[in-house]
Amino acid sequence: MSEVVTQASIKMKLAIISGIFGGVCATAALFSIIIIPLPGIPGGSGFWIPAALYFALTLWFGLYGALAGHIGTFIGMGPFFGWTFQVWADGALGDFMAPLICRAFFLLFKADPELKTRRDYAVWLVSVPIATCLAAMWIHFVNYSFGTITFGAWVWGVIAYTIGDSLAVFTIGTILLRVATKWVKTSPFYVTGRLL
Amino acid sequence: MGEAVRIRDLWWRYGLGQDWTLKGVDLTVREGEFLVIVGPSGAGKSTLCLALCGLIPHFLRGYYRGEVIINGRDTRKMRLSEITKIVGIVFQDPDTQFVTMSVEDEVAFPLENHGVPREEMIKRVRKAMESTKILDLRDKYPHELSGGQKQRVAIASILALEPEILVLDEPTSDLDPVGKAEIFSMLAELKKSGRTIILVEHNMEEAAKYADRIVLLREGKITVDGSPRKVLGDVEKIKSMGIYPPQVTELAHLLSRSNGVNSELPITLEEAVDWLREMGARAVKVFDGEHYVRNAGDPVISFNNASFVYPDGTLALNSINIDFYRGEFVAIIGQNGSGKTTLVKHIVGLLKPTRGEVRVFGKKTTEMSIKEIATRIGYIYQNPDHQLFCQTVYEECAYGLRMLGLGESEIKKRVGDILEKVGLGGLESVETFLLSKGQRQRLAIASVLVMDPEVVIVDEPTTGQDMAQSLSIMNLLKSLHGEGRTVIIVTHNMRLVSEYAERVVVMKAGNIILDGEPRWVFSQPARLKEALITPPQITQLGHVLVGEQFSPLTVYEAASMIRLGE
Amino acid sequence: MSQRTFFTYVAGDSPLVRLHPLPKVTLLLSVNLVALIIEAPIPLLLLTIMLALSFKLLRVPLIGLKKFVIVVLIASQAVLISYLLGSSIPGSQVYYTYPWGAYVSDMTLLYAATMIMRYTSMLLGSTLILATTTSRDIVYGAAAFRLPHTIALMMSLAFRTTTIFVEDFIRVRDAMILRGANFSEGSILERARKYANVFTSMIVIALRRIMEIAYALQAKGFGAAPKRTYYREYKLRISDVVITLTLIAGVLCAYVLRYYVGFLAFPGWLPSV
Repeated sequence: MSEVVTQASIKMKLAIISGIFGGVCATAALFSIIIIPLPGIPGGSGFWIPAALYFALTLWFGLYGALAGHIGTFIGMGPFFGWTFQVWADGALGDFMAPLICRAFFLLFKADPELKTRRDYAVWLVSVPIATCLAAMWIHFVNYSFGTITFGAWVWGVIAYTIGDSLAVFTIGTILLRVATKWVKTSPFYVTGRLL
Repeated sequence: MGEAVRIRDLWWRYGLGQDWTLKGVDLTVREGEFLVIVGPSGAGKSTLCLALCGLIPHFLRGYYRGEVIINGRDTRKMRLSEITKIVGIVFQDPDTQFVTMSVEDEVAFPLENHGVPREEMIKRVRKAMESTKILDLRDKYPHELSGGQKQRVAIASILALEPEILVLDEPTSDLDPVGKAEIFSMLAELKKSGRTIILVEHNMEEAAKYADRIVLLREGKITVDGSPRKVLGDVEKIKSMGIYPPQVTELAHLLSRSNGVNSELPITLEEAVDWLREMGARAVKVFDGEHYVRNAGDPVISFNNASFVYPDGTLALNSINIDFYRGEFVAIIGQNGSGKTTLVKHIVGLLKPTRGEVRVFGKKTTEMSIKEIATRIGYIYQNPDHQLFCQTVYEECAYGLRMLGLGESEIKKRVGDILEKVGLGGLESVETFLLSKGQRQRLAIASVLVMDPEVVIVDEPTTGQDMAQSLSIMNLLKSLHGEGRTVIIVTHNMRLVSEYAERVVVMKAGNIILDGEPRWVFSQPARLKEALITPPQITQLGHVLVGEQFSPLTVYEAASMIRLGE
Repeated sequence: MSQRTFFTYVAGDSPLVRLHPLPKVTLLLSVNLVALIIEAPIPLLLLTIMLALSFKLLRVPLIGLKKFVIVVLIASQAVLISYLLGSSIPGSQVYYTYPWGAYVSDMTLLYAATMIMRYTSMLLGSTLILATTTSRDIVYGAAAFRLPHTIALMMSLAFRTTTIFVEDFIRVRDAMILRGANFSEGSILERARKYANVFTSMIVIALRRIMEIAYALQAKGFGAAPKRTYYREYKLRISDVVITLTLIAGVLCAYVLRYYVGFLAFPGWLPSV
């Protein structure tokens, strides 16, 4: 009897995880904008809800999950904000970085995405706001560079984004990690022990 | 003939699973053979298919023992890309198999992956499209085709690789009767070309026509292996294993037993006609063809000249006039895209007519909120995954009750009762995600029934379920009907329609073309043909044997209406 | 005959549908880059008008025109708020000064309007291209740029599955409505919580679906050959090359005019300046 521990090829992970979940994140972004419009920050929610999905995806699938967030946000924001450089560079790229930072915390502190222990929860609760804050700084810096916000709006943007993103991640992401991680671990797409 | 496949003592356990899915399977398939694999849900049929095409052990995580030999070589020692050139596999859901946006590109996709030169590719794509009769669909968007056409595209894309062995995992389970027939006749053509075909199938009536051999897989083991006549002829045994035999075989079995006849049983319609004639069968009762008219007071649901046009301009309902009455058991049938689901979505208020009106309990749906309708009408989707959104079984059932504002003690009582009723008692704290497909289907039903609706609408209640699961769901619906509720089902399964429904509505291109009791509807094969519907096999037998005035609906009914030997 | 794209149907003989993927991708990049380079109001206005007209000229349906205008208005409001409350752009007239030092001048309003036009032109340009794009364009476009096929397939799957998941989303949401959920009531947080159920369900559906798609891709030999071949032959016509070069030249020209001549810089080409 032999145990078979297969790993999907990089090509498969790129196509399946980043592609398919890119579609899921895009749908989430699309509906978040329509459903939960934020006064004064139209489209802001388009980043928040998918964030909850790609944080979980990145803890499961590493780089490929983060790419799904990036692609998904880009596509999902498209009908409202165009498939423009700005969307690609700000939110979408920010959404790529944030979950990878969270994953780095999990690897550094050897936490389990199943969130079984107090330590797992502690790492989750600390890493998410830090990651989203860093992403928010980047996103608003790009918006500022493109001229769509002023520097004054940068500070408020970062604060609002960090709170909004973190709340969404804690609300939906926690459920996802608790419910599905055990099952995902048995799939050939699960990436363990590596940042990328 | 040489061996195409040899499986020796194959064991497989999935990474998450506690039990072995395959438990020592031994199987040999000859070149050019048409093998049908049957078995109840969870028997390991799909897992065996994955092992045949090399995805086990090359792609999935788990524990493996034994060997699968393809053309004399162990699949473990071959690369997956080598195996896929020899063994082509087609899965149940064609939609998840498409990766491009045109039929022609879809057929070419595997050849591009294998680096086949362009000139060769052009020839092979054309040949595959010709053999599956999809040449005229080459520029179409695959997702917009009918179910049968989609599955033919999926098969063509695998055939383009010219595999020696074709494995098909329940390719017809989501198809309407005509779609099923299209696939089977195409497989018969492929068999003639000498290809080895391994088919997992629930539909024994079609399989019996084409199979060279049938194996029955149960709890990971092959328990029966033999010719269709031998396997299907042992009616009691295969029924005890959760498999529906062809209706004509079951009839012949009943008649043989009651008349003390001991002869080989027929397994196809044609054979049954000959068998009955040889036995001197005669019909002792025919029907007068009376039309079902229910007269039970005010209708609970009324469509008055209701039309619906989708935003893309498709006319999905065309001036529909129909009433549904309290306590009816109605089946809505028709080919894919005929407007069945659009019709029921109007009943629950998810869609509102673009012209005309729909009334439920006397009120126009345009003047009611969906929530208001939902308290009296329950709608159960075809795919349970679209209906389950809570973490645990208990929460799932409690959701609707909480929305109604009921107290926790009342909720607890109602949830407990309904879970017992659907056979999920004791699983309250289990996560819905971890339930099996059959359990999820029953949970979806429970989550709607717990709200105590007066009308229950179920879209394809038995798709992908084995005989035991189908019977359990249908008997549950029957008991609801017995309690006085109105039950409306949308289905492709004519056997269930004839056995359970008391009224059948046939739809075609947004119109109702027939509406009446099952016997009356099924005794009009010409009109049914317009809607691409075929009556159940037992009814067809009656038509061939006597005529349209002899339309038995069930095997037992047919047995009671036929006498042998005079 | 109309051609199915990711988001709509486009007339099969529309020049954009017949265009080789290479100039098409170049067009997408150029529109974005030029809009980013130009900072002068009138040229940006002209670019926006030109792009809006090209929908008509190239026979591309402007999907949901009403929704499009609403989105532009909402986004414009965000840009305006940001500039009206938090900028200090000198002008000939100052209308209002805030206690925190920011002020509103005539140039504040003009700059905000310019940024709205920049955003609108990028939105129009990218919609024009993406509305006419099929998975074939992505696959062959990636090949034309020598990108790996996997990247193209990933993008193509993401676009295509978005439409499938949108249907899933609506089904799950409808199922919740049928069990009494009301999505139009409650605070943002309450609504978000209701939608959390829908998104969780969608992830579960997607997790089940990825294995099926992975099986299908493996069965179709995805990644089997070291060198992939292509069924269709996309030959670059002279017109395609000319369009591509013209677009690149246009971007370079805009860059020179903006950074070396100052013509397209703010306030740039303005009759009053």
